[in-house]
Amino acid sequence: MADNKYAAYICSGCGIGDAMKVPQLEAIAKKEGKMAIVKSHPFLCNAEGVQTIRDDIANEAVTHVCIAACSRRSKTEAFQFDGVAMSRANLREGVLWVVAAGKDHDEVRQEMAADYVRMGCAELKKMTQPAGNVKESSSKRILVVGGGMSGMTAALEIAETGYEAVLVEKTGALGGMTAQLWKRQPFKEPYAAAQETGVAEMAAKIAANPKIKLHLNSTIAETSGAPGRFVIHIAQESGTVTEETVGAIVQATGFTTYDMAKLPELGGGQPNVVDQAGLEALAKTANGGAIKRADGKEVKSVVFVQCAGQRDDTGTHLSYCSGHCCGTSIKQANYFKDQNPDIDTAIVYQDLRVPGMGEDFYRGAQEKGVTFTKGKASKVTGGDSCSVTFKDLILDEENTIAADLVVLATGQVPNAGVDLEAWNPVVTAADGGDAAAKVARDEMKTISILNLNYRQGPDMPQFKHGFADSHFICFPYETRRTGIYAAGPVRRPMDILQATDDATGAALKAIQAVESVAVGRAAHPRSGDLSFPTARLEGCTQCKRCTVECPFGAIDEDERRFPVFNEERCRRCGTCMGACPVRVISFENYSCDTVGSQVKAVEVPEEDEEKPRILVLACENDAYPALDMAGMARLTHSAFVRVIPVRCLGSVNTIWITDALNAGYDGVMMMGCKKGDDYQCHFVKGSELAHYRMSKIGDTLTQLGLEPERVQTQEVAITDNARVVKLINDYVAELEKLGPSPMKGFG
Amino acid sequence: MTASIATNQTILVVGGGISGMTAALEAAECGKQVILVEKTPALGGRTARLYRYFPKMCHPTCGLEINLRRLKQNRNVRLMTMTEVTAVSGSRGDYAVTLKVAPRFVNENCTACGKCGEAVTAEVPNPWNYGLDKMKAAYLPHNMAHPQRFVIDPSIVGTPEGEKAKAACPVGAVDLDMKEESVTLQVGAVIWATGWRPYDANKIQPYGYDRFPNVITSLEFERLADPQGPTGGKILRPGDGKEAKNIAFIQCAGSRDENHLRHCSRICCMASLKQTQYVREAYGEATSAPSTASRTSTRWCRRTRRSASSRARWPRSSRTRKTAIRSCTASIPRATTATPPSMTWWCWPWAWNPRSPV
Repeated sequence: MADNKYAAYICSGCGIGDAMKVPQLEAIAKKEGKMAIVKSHPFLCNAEGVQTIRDDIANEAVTHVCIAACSRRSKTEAFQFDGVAMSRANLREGVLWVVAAGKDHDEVRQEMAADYVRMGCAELKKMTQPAGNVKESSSKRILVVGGGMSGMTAALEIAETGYEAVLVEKTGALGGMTAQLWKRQPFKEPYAAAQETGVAEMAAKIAANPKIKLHLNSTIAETSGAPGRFVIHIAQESGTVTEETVGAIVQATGFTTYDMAKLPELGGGQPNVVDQAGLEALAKTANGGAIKRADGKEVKSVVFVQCAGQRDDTGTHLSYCSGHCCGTSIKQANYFKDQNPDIDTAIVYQDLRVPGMGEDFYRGAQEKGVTFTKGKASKVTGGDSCSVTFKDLILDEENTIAADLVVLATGQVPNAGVDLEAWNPVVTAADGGDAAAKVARDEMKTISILNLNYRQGPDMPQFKHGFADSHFICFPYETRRTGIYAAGPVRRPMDILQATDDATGAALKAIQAVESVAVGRAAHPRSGDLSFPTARLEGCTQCKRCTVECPFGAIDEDERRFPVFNEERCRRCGTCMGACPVRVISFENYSCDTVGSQVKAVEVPEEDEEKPRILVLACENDAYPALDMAGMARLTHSAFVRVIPVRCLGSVNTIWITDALNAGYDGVMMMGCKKGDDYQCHFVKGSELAHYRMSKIGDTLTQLGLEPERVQTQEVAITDNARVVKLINDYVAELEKLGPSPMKGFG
Repeated sequence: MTASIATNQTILVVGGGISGMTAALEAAECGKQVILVEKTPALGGRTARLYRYFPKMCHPTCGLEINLRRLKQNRNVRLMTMTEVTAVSGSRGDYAVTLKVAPRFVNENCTACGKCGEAVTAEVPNPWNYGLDKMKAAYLPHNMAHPQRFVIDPSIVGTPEGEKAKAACPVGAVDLDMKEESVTLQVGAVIWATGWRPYDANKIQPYGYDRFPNVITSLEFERLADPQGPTGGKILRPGDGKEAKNIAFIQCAGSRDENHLRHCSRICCMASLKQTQYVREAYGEATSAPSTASRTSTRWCRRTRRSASSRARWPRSSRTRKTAIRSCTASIPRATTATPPSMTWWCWPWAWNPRSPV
């Protein structure tokens, strides 16, 4: 490999040259930054400026480029050089636009710019351009777990896009819950009548498609590996185990209906009280004729009780709405009305939710004479003549109706496998030798769906109410297990149409995962990132922090308890790097050194200069753009801060903080995303972990004789451009009151 | 992001809102060549103009930032803004698409330094804020606009104002001679993601949107709540600029209605519940901000609707009731300028559609 050659290019455009002494910055890049080539340009991002850099790369064998110009978020199209490591010193948004104009500020502005140039050069020296780890033997097959509507859709979409699918279904036939239906809700114009489920056609298509390998009566005995190289042990009912290698997984394991037996007050378990699935079975038996009860009597009147055991605020039943049940009851009322308009059909609802085109279906049912009664059912009794007692919410009075049959709209309970929150403590106890915990662990294992042999547990983490993880509001298919995508009602309650949309989306994400991993690219949200973490295991103390804290379960442990990095599972957030107390984990272009060297590159003024220095570690996802936009809005803040963007606050290693304080910085402020239940951290746990780690740093500060206020952690949203400026200015004022750091001069 | 070659493997995505951006990026990250066209000067569509999302109350611009970052580093996507589709011909796997590119009057030299905006004095209504305020006629559409390039409003081209913008530009980026262009591309598939527009609130006569300045739509309310919006995040009545403290939310305004839209637009109830939180956040729990959101059954709703329509006269009949009424107008699919070919995929915003379990 050729020697590294470093070059810095300083732009004097956009007013940088007017407000700052560019020749001085050039001298700093040359002498202190030790750049082999240093050039300035009045308009670096235009064709000619960019060509200067390209020429140096081609003719002078430059391998590392520092661009001292605008923010790393700007002019990305111009500053894109293949195979070259690049750092960006933010002189425009970060200095020119946020430091107050005028001669009074010339000195501090220049110092700030000089520090950013030093930092850009220092970072560059520690960087290597990641080449990506191309995997020639990477599998592009995709496993689909569950053969219901979601799973069948996913498998067909995968196959029709040209990829191979392996479809595993627990029962002996495809179709899942949908196959149990007589008809499905209308899903196309004119949204007037129930439609055929289409299960048989889909099953035939699957059987005829050579790209889909079907395993019926099968479950997943074990999943090991990582995207591109998952090894799946598929256990058949007969006891035989087949091994399949796949690149990604779509988990479409659907739902189970909420157990009616838990609703005795609503007649659960009594004769002639059925749930919606029970009614579908009766309708199937009737096959278009008169629907008869289990005792053979023809149904002449029927009452549908909505939200049975759902939207419950007592904590006893499901607290959520399952989304499909209003439409399903309308459909089922139509079964009766279509067969015999004289049958009395009443739907007792609290709130009727038929979003979108469901309105047309609802109106159609009204026209057919289905009675809609706004009320809350309090008691249902079964038997030969059933009765439903409810409070009429319009008339505000108690009411009772009699019926031959009562249908309870119970909700969807996801089939998501083991809840890791419960799993982890049990495993810890079992590993410690607790016999009862061992039994509990083995019992839990039996409900696992994926049986991942990951260090962090056998299934994907769960979201609220036991639904499988979907970890972004805006990117719903992403889960915390890279290359494994949840689709359909296992992810959130939904109807068939939504489940097919969902399965299509998940299939696309799975295809993307296998394509990305084959060329060593990261998955969302750092999609395209070619860097990956490596560890110098000789320095590792086997503390297990990285394996426990990785939000994506990417790191396993070997038999000697050393971490085993599964690069393909990694999202490149750097949480492991932040966790490591001995700093042995690093990425090629992002490491303890790339940031640490920037911290150390800053020139910290002596105490008597009365110029505090504050390090701001800003999450590049939200806080850094907010700072940029403060610049764009020309909001000014103190010139005493030095901002370093980080991949996630979770990647912040405490060494950077200690280094900064030792070097005489007066304070360190961390800006990350919102943590907690409504977290906005792009890596789920990063900002929370950072807060936790910083809560522990207080003692260390006290031992050093430093006030705890010298380290601050803030939650910042991307719209906070005015707030970040205030946070900075307030912090500077607070630190000025506190006085200079006693560590100054010892660095 | 460099020019991708149009072949029959190329996918054309029409619309640069969240549906279109998602479709373009997901396809590009699968290795496909994509051309993304957007009618306005910047990406983001309606979603980026929302202040927050339910249920997490997080910011749509945060998602926009992720998508822009993906876009900036993905070379499979070619972005064309200020571009509309005028014709589509051909069949599956082989379409010829004619595009009309409107002049931006600013070329790629623009560094978004803002000098042209400073120089120009003419103002035009700001579409980003649904016309609730004005902006300079040389403008960056919004803070996170991508491409990060200014636009010269055509109204000042050929006027001294236009010349001022040109003279102020230090990098020669203002080009007032730009003309509309027509481009024809060969593509293999078309994804139609042209989104929606709010139902015309003027048509809902009883609610007086056309007569009462303090009756606004749900989308306008989003801009009022946004710190980046026309009021800096303060909920001020358009009529007199006073803080609105009593706010009534009318659901199903013009939707689920035989005289207007028959369908339910699905997001409005949650949107109003979300917006009541904006109000709470602005005024705190203790103050009286009886923001009511009601949507239940149709029956219930009809009753509400009747009473609400009489309430709409408050601003006229009772000056003491300082009430801004915001009507939640429903969405209707954007009519297309070109008849979509039969193989076009209709793309709904499934990715950002906040159908989450809570």
